[in-house]
Amino acid sequence: MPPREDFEGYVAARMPALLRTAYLLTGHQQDAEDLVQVALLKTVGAWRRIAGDPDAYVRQVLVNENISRWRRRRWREVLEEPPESHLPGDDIERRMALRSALMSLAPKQRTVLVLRYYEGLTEREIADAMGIGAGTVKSHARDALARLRSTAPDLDPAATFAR
Amino acid sequence: MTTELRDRLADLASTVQPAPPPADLWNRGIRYQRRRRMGTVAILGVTMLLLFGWGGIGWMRSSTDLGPAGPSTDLRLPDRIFTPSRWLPGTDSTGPLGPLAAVMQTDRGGWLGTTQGVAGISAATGAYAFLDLPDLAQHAWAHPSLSPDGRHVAYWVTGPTTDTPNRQAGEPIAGVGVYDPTTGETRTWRTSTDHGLWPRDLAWADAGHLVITFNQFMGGEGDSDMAQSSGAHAPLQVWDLTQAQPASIPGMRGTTLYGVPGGGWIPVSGEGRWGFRMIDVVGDSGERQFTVSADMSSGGGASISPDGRRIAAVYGSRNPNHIGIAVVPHGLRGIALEPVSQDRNSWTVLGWLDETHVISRVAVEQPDSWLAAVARTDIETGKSINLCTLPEHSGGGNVFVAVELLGGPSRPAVAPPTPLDPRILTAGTLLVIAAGGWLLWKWRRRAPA
Repeated sequence: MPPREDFEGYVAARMPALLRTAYLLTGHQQDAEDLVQVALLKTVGAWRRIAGDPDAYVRQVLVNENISRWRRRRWREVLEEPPESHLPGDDIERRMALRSALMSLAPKQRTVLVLRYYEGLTEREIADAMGIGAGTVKSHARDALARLRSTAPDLDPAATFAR
Repeated sequence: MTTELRDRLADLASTVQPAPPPADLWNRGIRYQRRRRMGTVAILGVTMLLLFGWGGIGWMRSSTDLGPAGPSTDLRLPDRIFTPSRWLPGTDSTGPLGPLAAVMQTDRGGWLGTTQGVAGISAATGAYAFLDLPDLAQHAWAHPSLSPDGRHVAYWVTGPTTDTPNRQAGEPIAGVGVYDPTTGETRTWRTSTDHGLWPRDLAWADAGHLVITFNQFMGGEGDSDMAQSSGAHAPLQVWDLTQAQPASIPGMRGTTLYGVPGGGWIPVSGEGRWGFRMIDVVGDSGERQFTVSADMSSGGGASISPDGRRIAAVYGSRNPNHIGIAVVPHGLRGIALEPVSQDRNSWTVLGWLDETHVISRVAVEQPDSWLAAVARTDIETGKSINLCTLPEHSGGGNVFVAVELLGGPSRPAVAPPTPLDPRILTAGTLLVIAAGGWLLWKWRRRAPA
């Protein structure tokens, strides 16, 4: 298949999943869309090389770009209104609480948490994606969970962190 | 493995609104890659340009256009000698300079500080370079000596001791090296020493005979200050360069050299207070002893004329002063110096050009200081002509010229180059590379427009 069609097929298939991960990383709908778009743009140049298994590369660009963007634009780290929802009020509050707790983390801690508990990556895979050591991944995860315990007390620590 | 956190992250992620794939993503990605590549090339180009520019400045400051070298027989002294930059390159990088017009003891810069170096000035081109002399001693009194024809440089070398070393003035000295500036090779003689040698004089009796005087330190590390500051007289050595090593002169122990006479004779201290002996170290004429009746400056040297009939020395007890001339008597008789009505004062007699002209280092009076020059003085008229102006602030005592070149015309001097401190050059280069790397990093990490 020509690379362009292959790339466009990949984007169509993976866009929703990438957007969800980006949303957890940024906490903003618009920023998540921008982040995914930039990550995919930067992937085009390497597409021929990674076409067989692009996920790891795209994820690496996504997380690193997010941290770089945070460094450039940290003043924008404010919470926006949550998307419209038809859920009961309790559920909305729980989502808001989790989002607030995530946004209170340092970007690298947040990234480790999302990749570990949402994407289900191993510590080694996270270390490769972020370009850091496995020991650093562990410490980021430990610090992130400790902070979540204090900022999101409604999360059940026993159920949540007993992995 | 599912936990509440995992479920709640998935729940939060599910609230994101679906978005259609961005339009024309592939073409925009291609354009982004192209701009990124062009930016990278531009930053690398500017960095290289800066590096070449910076390197070019360093190169220009370290090189000089001396013009084509004359034939090897066209050996001259420059009409002025400059104190070279301490960052002048060494002969290990420039190659041998060939016969030298002069050598100068002066500071030499290094990555970790300054050492005592010996700079040479080519007699063929006037170019300057530090002589890379193996095991060059750093002792304050360890002066080099240039042969009269400029083809050998004698210097003190460091070496091992049989007992505790005396490091009061650097690594202990154990002998003498003779450097050939034409080939770059060095011959070294080291003598047995308990604590190191206390250097006194290196002087050339002629182009092929080096006279060496030194004391042996009485103590080394761990000995008393008195022992470490005392020296025992050692026999005077004469090194005929056709031989592998020097030979001791019997009975010549604790003598003081009075400069370089030329003609194979050396004046050394004699029995009496003002006496000195002329020793024939080249031929087999033995020695001639004179007693100078008075009025000879002890620090001004002495020199016998080519015909052996007269002696020149600095007159009087003060220095600088006029040159004094004495006729050499037959037998052991006292001689008296007659001052020449010289138009300037001399510090040291360096030798004779011919039967009527004496070479000396003279004082050139300035409004508020003294400069030094090498001058030729007609002993019949007292008129002096400057042959070579010596560096300011040094008095010229650290400059040693090839006396045989003083008879010919001098060369218009060209100032040596002033290379940048290589530490600044390296730091600047690293700074440019770092700035280029940082710009590149910023450029490649920027978000696409």
